Amino acid sequence: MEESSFGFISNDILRQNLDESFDHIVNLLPLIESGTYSDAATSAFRKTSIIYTASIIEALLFHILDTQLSDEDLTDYMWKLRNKKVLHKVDDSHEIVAGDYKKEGKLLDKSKLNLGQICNILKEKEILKKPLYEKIDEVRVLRNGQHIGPNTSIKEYTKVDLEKAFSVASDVKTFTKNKFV
Amino acid sequence: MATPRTKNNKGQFVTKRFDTKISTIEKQYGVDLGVKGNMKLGNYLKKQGYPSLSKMLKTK
Repeated sequence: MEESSFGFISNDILRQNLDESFDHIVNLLPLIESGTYSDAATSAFRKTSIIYTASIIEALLFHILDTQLSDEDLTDYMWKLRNKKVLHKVDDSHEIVAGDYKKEGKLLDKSKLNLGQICNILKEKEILKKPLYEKIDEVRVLRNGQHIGPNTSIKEYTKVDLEKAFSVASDVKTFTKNKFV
Repeated sequence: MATPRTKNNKGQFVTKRFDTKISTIEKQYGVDLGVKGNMKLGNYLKKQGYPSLSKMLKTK
């Protein structure tokens, strides 16, 4: 009997969720390859597989962020003007002001991070290098095809798209595994 | 969908996907994959142009 496909993940819940998602992808493959379904249905199965694959990629990268970065790493500093005093009102859209202008830190809410944000943080912290970052971004764009509102054409998901997503997931899995073993 | 998964003695889900025979999958999903039934899923995926997924199935 073989172990989980994500045995290097120590978080039981995460590992089980990864296995569930991975199993779903494997379940869809026979349907995609059977030739039983229409082109539109096959494309939809591929789209679902890409969404699940991106979900696995996102979860693995989130795990790195969650376990290897400190709160300080995840704090965003921005300049804020406090105790504002209006010295002179030029017009309704222009004021001359004084006050305390300070940099204030705000801890990012990890539960609200999306794949793009996770990748940007890991790249900024030099954990994720440009070649892998760019590959992941291709999957992110493919995955975002689920947001059909802004689409200007009907996207058909191909076998090449799917294998590209699997290839990136394989790279991210190896990348993550090397961080924890 | 039912999957060939069970729990080990730690209560963790475990998979035995790579070695699953194609005939098992064909029966499970009611599809004809057009290859010999005794072919293993991992090899089937590789043959069909999914080497990365096959690799993911194999590596733990």
